[in-house]
Amino acid sequence: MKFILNQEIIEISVPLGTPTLNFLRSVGMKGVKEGCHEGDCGACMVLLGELKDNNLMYKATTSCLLPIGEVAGKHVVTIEGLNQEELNPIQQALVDRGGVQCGFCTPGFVVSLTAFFMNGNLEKDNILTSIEGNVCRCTGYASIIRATEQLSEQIDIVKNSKKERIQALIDAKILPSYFTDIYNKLKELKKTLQQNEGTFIAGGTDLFVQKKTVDDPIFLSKMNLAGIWTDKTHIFIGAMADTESIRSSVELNTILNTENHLAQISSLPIRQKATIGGNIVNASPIGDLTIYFLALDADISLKFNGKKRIIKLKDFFKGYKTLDLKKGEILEWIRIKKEKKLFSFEKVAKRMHVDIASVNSALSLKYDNNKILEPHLSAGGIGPIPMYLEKTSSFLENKKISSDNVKEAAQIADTEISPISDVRGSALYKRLLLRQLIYAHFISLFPELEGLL
Amino acid sequence: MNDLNDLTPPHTRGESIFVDDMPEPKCMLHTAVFASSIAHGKIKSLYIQNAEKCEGVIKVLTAKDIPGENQIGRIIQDEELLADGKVVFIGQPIAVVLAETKEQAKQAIDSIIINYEELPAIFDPRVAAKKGSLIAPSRTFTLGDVDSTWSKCATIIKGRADSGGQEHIYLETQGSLALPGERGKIILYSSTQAPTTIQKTVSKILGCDMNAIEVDVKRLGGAFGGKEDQATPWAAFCALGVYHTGRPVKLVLDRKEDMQMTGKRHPYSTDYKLGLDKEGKILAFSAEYYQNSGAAADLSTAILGRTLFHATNAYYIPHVRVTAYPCRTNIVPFTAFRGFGAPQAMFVMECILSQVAEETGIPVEVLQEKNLLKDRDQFPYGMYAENCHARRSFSKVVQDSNFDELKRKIEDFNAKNRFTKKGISIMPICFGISFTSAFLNQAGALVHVYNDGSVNISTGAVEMGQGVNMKIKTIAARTLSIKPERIRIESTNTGRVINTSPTAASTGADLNGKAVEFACEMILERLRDVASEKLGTGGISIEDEIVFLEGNKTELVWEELIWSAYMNRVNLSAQAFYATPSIYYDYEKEKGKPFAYHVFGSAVTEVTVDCLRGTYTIDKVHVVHDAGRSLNYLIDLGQVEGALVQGIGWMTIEELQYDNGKLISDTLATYKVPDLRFAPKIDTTFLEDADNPAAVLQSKGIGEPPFMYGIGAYFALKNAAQAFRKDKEWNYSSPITPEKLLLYLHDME
Ligand SMILES: Cc1cc2nc3c(=O)[nH]c(=O)nc-3n(C[C@H](O)[C@H](O)[C@H](O)COP(=O)(O)OP(=O)(O)OC[C@H]3O[C@@H](n4cnc5c(N)ncnc54)[C@H](O)[C@@H]3O)c2cc1C
Ligand code: FES
Ligand code: FES
Repeated sequence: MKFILNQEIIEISVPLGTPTLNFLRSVGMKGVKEGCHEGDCGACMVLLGELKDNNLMYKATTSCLLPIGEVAGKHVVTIEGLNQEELNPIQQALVDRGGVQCGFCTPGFVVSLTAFFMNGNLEKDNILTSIEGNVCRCTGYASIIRATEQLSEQIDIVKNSKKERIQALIDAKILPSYFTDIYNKLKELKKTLQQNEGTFIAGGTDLFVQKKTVDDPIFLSKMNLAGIWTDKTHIFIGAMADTESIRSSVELNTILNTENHLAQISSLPIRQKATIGGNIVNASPIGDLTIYFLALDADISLKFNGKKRIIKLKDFFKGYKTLDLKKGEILEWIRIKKEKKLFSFEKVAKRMHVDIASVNSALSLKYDNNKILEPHLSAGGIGPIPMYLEKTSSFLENKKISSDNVKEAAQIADTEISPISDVRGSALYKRLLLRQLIYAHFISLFPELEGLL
Repeated sequence: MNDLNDLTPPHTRGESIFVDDMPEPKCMLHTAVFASSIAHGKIKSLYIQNAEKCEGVIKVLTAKDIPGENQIGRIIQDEELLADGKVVFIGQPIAVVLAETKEQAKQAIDSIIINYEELPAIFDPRVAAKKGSLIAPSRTFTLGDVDSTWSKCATIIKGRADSGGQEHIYLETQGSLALPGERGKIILYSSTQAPTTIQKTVSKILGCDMNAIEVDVKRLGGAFGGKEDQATPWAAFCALGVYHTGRPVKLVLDRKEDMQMTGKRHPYSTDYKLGLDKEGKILAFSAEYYQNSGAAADLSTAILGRTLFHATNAYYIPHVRVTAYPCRTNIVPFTAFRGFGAPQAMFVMECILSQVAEETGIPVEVLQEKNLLKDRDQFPYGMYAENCHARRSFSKVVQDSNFDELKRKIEDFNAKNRFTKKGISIMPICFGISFTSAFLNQAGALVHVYNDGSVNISTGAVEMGQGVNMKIKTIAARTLSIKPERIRIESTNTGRVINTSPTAASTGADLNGKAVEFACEMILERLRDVASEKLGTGGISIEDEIVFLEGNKTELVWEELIWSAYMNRVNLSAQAFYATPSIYYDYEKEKGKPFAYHVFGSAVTEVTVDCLRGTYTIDKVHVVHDAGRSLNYLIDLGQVEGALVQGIGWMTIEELQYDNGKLISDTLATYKVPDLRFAPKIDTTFLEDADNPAAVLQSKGIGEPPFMYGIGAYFALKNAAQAFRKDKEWNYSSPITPEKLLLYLHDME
């Protein structure tokens, strides 16, 4: 397979499931650091550039969770590929403001901040979001934040430049000049084809945490399963849609507030990798997207050798990590009704950002004539599967909004769940937390309840 | 000179070399460690033959392969390098596979067969103490007469406080690379704070002289105490591998191995009793601290000592009796971590004051202020407070943060909001600087001036992000009065500077900087003679690379001066030594002057709690810190901010969780350190007019003290939570995770 590593087109033959981090370090890119090998620290951050609809798009991504097969035909940029003779303005800002202590995390921060300049909406995005996936144990972040403030000047320069982004960034000395050639070089590179049998890899953000390498990867990214689209009655989300696209989807945000709700999932680099299909098929009892869409009464479509079946998402989960999924069957898309409902999503984790929930929950309902209609309540972290709370949902049907009804609903929910004590909290905590999150749903939808619960 | 750390640009370019980044020598072997899966038991049989037959495997090392002593204990010799016959904690190394590739080494681990006979294990320090399972005898500090004072107290409170451990999460994991040299010599590159410890321990393990082992340390990707004694085994395995194979050997732990196999901050459980007069002046204090030391001593006894030294924090208490027990349990030996036992003691003292405030109704900040130290107050260990800035920093932080107004605003806010509550606290600190083992307070430096005028400096200090190299560069540049660009700081190498103390206890710049100052002065002395010879007699000085005679500028500049010195056969190299003067300690009496000086400061912390969900944010921390005369503002600011956030992490979300002695929070996904969004806004002011004659260029050690400002977060959260409900007894246990907070705020029927 061929790809561009910094300036050069290279051709390699290593197993396609090898993590890109391991490959890069083995060829001497030692500025790419290993801090966790699980997507949690950002020390291994690289830029990944590819042509999408003929546009060259870059994102920062954790190379530890990136199988090398995924970079075929793409541009991988390490810190070495960003260095110029002088420090660039990002590097300089970190030095000037003391944002560097031991230096182990630093290349990762530089790469993530570069991605902000390359891909970010400079009018609107918060530069800090670009580094939410980078851990620094030395600085306490204050100096790094000051460094980002020093970059506001560069942001203005790039924003006001009439040139296209990459050229503007070269002018601003943020990128080295070889970036001008990448577009043409990428056009010439073919993406490799792949085998038919093996392990499906979507974003790899669960898979490569569980296994360090995958022997027989099938890259779902090559199958055209991404995208979000609508018909008259439904909104469809392709299984390969990543969390960040779902978050920012115009279609979804007309009926839901995914923009805010999903901001609390993982970090930007992970959100840009992690797919909804992976979240569902991984079947973690605490998957955020799964819980989210369970409460929207979603359907899913499964495909095998051209044969297709559509089932309810809630019927997909049979037991702990057992699914109504045949070997070789692919989750194709998920769909929800195109209608506006009252909707609330709650997630509590030990750390509010970039952490897996202790308990999460979602609720959708209509409220008409003082009556709850079509309520759907889901919750995660309180049983072996992502749970649709059937009894509680049907209890709520046709009920009035009152603190008594909400309390009773919480009590019924408590009988439906079977949390266990683990690293994310004691069983007692999870029971209490679910009760509180159910209260929180109703308080945020019906603020008048606040004084009553 | 500006306050940049001009040694950091290569970090931003990813060009700084850490152990795992070094070019790998030809024929280098990789390693994997086979560790105990049970907490306590006898090894009935260990079968490594299958592993040795695995592809790529060259050798499997076990205790039998140790030619010298199988011992890594430094203070107390109670820890084997490789378990021999019995295991005492989960994660204890038993065997090490040496193979051609890392994957092969890891795979071979699965072929090792072991049979244990399990024995009962202890995880709770109180249980250990009850059973007499102690690492060393308990220690007691006394001042005045506690027993006869209780009856004079208007209020007496009693209680218990527990603080959890903490994982270092230095971003660079532990690792080492060993190279074979000639005639049995081994060169070790290691990510360690204590090169001499490794040199000495490895020489014991191999049964050779120390001069056969050279340890070289370029820099560490963070350490925080976690690479003081805990760096030793990994270097020792590499050395042992070289000894047996004659080939270079590397061992770098992955994150999970590191978390499972290396020591952390000690959890403590403490019983306390405190008495006050009617006005809120503390009269008497007694406490028993149960330190969970883990399965071996490591640095536990020294840490225990520092707990007792800081039992009264920044307060004066006339009658004190505090006892601490180092309790042996079946967990990975706990070790040094920023603060070294002092944070655990200060947490207890603040729990006490918080409880007193609740019981007496006197606001906690009034209690704090009333009892703060002033000059000539005596510590329980006999030393007197000098140049004490406890009260100054406290009143300044109260003023700068607008504490009184903030408090009013918070009360208003809380009255108006049902579920969102704000809280506030003040945290004063007083931290002693010096190793409490007096002999460790020594350092050496080697300064070379090449005949082109460039300067090379070696010391015993290890750079780990704390900026010690930049401080040393600053000290040398100021002393020699030359441009810092001429100066290069070399790696820390046991061949160049010997018998080094670990870079720890916030003393790195104090001790090594002073030695550098001395060495530079020795060279200056010689240079002045050279200049006199050229310019005639009179007072010679050098300023900004120019030689002055009797205060008058001359034509003679640094490069020329150096060249003349060289041509005149003058020694342009100096080795100097520094030992902190006038510190001593009598362990029998538990009295002395263990510290060169104390560091003071205070912090105000503001938080918000979502009482519906039990979640919270640490909003802002206002710090007033005593840094003496700072050697480098940017570096010292970074130390304050970084330590503070680490301290907040320890008090809030960083939770070590075990399942029968097995760590289950063993990845960055399950052990959460503060991230960008969790970290508060920080406003730091350094005290002015706080010169410190007891350290180099009037500066003060800064690595550890600010960590303890983080304790304020706990009490601010308590303050907010109790604005929601007050009818329930508060359990003084840290970290105060969202789980614990929610379980306090609500009851499940
Ligand atoms: C740092 C970090 C933070 C995280 N934070 C969160 C969080 O806050 N909330 C959360 O819910 N999760 C979180 N996760 C978990 C993970 O990101 C999500 O579960 C993600 O949605 C998984 O998607 P993926 O595309 O990466 O799946 P992959 O890892 O590629 O796949 C997961 C499984 O699904 C199978 N699979 C994937 N797609 C299909 C398909 N279309 N058809 C059939 N089988 C398929 C794969 O074979 C594999 O078995 C985090 C992970 C990391 C590393
Ligand atoms: S190594 Fe930590 S995110 Fe990749
Ligand atoms: S500077 Fe050390 S981890 Fe960031």
